[in-house]
Amino acid sequence: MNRKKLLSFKAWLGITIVTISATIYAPILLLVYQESENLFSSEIEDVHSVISSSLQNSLSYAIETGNSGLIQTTIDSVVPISFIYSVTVLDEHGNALAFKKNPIYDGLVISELKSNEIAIFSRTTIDSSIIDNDLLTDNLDGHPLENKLEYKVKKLVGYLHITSTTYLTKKRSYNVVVQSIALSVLFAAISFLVFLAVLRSINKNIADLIESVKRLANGERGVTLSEKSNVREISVFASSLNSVAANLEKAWQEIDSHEEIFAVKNNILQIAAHELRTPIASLKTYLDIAMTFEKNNRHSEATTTLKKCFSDIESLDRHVTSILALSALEQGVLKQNNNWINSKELFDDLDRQFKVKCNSKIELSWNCASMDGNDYELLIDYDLVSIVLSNAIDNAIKYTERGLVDVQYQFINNELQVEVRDTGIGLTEDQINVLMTKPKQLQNDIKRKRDGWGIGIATMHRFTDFLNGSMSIESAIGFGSRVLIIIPAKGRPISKVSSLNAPATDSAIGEVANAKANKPPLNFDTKQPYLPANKAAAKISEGFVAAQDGGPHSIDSLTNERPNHSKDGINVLLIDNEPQHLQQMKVLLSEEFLRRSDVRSTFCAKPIDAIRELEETHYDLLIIDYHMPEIDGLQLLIFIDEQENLCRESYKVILTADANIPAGVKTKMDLLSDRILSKGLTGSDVRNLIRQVSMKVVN
Amino acid sequence: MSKRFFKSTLFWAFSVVLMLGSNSTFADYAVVIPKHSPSIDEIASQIATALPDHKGIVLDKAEFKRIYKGQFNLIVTIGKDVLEAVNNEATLNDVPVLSAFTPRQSFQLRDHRAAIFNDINLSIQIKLIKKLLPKTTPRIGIFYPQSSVFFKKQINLVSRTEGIFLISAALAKSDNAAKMITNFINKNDLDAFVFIPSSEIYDPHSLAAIFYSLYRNEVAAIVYSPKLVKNGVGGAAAATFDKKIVTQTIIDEVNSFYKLGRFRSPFFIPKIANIVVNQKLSRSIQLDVSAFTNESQIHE
Repeated sequence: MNRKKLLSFKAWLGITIVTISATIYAPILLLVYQESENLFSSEIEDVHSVISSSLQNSLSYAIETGNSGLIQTTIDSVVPISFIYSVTVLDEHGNALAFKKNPIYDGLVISELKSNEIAIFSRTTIDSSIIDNDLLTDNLDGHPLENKLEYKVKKLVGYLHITSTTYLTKKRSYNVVVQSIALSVLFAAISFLVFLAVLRSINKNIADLIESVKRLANGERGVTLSEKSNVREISVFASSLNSVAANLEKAWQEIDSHEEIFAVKNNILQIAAHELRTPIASLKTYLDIAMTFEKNNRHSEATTTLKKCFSDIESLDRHVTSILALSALEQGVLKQNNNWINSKELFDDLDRQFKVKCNSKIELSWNCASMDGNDYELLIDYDLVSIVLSNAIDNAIKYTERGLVDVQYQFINNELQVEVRDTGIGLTEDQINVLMTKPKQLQNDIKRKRDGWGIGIATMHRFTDFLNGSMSIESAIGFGSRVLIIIPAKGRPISKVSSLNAPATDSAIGEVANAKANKPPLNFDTKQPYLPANKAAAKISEGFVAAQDGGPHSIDSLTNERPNHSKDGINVLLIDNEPQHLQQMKVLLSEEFLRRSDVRSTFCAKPIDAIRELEETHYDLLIIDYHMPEIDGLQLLIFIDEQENLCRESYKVILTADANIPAGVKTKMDLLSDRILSKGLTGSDVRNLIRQVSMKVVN
Repeated sequence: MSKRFFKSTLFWAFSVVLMLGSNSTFADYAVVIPKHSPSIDEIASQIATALPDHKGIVLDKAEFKRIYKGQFNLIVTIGKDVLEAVNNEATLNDVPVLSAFTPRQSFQLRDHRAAIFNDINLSIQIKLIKKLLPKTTPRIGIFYPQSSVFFKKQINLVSRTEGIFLISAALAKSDNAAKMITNFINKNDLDAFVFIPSSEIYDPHSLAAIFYSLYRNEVAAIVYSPKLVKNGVGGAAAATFDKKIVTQTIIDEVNSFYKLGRFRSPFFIPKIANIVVNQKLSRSIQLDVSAFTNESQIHE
């Protein structure tokens, strides 16, 4: 496109001012110049006309009567004319009667003198017939020309000799031109100053207008323009621009809102797909294990496995309830459904639900009990309260690897107060501030650093608000967190139930529970202030240190024995941060399920542990979970591929419950791994996998 | 058709009758005019028909030369040209001739000749000055031609009038009246100056210059013709004779001639004059013009 070169409005204004000035001043200057040029000749003509009328009469009378005084007086009136150098009056015979020199030329040397002689005539209406009183001639009585003065006789009586010079006239005309130019320059300067003043007054406004429009055009938001201006059009323009910007901002906000909602929904969908699929896959595996146990008449183990299934189903139920409640809350159709609930039942459900999950982390203790040992019948919405508390507990377990997750509750002053404490990674003040700032909508920047919904805080906020309750968080980095949830409720006491503080009766945790039994008890005093420096916290820390000192690869204690790595047989390394899955895979990789004894399995909860393991031992099969905090499965694969001695040639399998892995990630996985399997493996799947690895090893 | 045209037509008819009848019917006197024109024919016809007992005939100069055979006992000439023509005709030396509307210098005093002058009567002009300057004894100046006996006599006669000072100066033809007037005014401290009709001492330019000098010196210029008063020519007031007055004087003298058989005097001057005043100019030089209207007259 041939773009026309544009000039700024300042340039246009300047050009306009100069053009107008030139249009106005140029003709004036030209006129003045021409007038000054014509001045001399016009003055000559003027003096001719003057002399030929009144001066002629006066001089003719004076010469006729010989009145020298009158002659002198007459020429005195002529001499002051600027271009007249001198005047001489002569009679009809050329004899000088009077002479006068213009005094303004005294002392000046005039080189250009011109002479002009004007004849002086005496003219009269009297004719000779009147002199003789001839009544017969020229009867004027009653004649139409009676009143018309008519000179009938003309007589030469003398001469007026004028000597003139253009000296002063030229000088005067020159001065007139110079003065005109000076005035023009002055007017132009005044015009320019006025122009500058006007320009200055509107320049900033216009610059602001241009800048604001430019910013608006670039998509910048929050553009506002000052409407203060002395120029009405600018003020109106600014007002209109602000109106447009406001409308645009409104539209932007709507777009943001929709995008946010879309992102949240998309995020939720992805997370839900993973989170829902994980327990389903787990259920599939557990049920397969249970059926195998049943087939082998191992009824007790089958029952234990089914209890785990039950826990997963409850978790699944809780997720679905949360999704439904959230959806209803978002749409504003959520209603509070209060029923009388036994507090013991509520917390027993939570206990049953999270005990299994908590116990899957072998260094994590679980406690859920009433503070005062009493239980009440509470008028509350069971589902919503359950969602709030579940999220709080779930977060505590999720972010705590070692130590204790402690849930205590009490009913006081018509409020159900629940305190969830953990000895997890803790939060900074800034993080607490962010979390305590109740989001309007669900967080859309969920990062899957931990498994789970990642929407716990938002959910807790929303539902706590909905229930007219409150939530507070105290935390310190490295020392854990304490969340206090207060839900207003009606309550009435019930008979004390002795089993409230009873330890978990369920021994289904099996080896995990046994492993935990060897750990020192943790004294977590809820009455003490929650400060990193206090003794309780110090004890917790010591406890953790002691636990860590127990061995660099604490997850190895999950195995029955440290694998005896030999060249015969197949070495399998499984890396997954999910303890429950680790438990399932341990069963599936056991000799009983594989029906072969040459498979030695090692389980790592952290990728860093797995790398250490790979440095020491050669593994034929690497089973890596994709979703892991800190280092995910793909990153681990890349790392292994880059190292020469880290089992690059081993058979690598990626496990994931996520059905929506991005295409780029999937491609890389395909390149770096041998297979990508979905979670929820059965015994048959594992046996086939081992068979393939075995054949590869043999080959 | 104007009244003037009607009269001239009648006159022509009448003249033709007289001329045709001149061979058969003798006319007593002839009124000779320079040439026919409505204004002159009107004057001439008034004169020719004025006397019931004597017949008059109007002839122009050419007609008069062609038909005159000595049959008229009186010839009335109108104008300077006719007078000069009659004077040059030797056969008319013994014929009585009454000249009118004639300048003074054209008139030659001799037997059987008489003239009616247009010159203003000096005594009338003095009366006019006394009326214009009633509270003073005016000092009146006058220039007259050195060669004119008539004016010299008149001035001598009038200078004896009480209540005035008349200062006269006789000018030769070579004298420049315009250059003399300022000195004359200042020397004699004049209140008024009387002009007489004389082409010998005045010309149009000297007359205009004199008017200018008189005005500058606030001296009243008393003239003899309304043409010198009107249109700001310079005259303050004039005692004038118009055609009607002169015509009546001619008729009176023709009638007297036939009664007496001779002229009473060689020349006559009208005794009644019209007064014309330039009111504005007169007031500017402090003249009393309250007694004068446009139709005022004054008698000798």
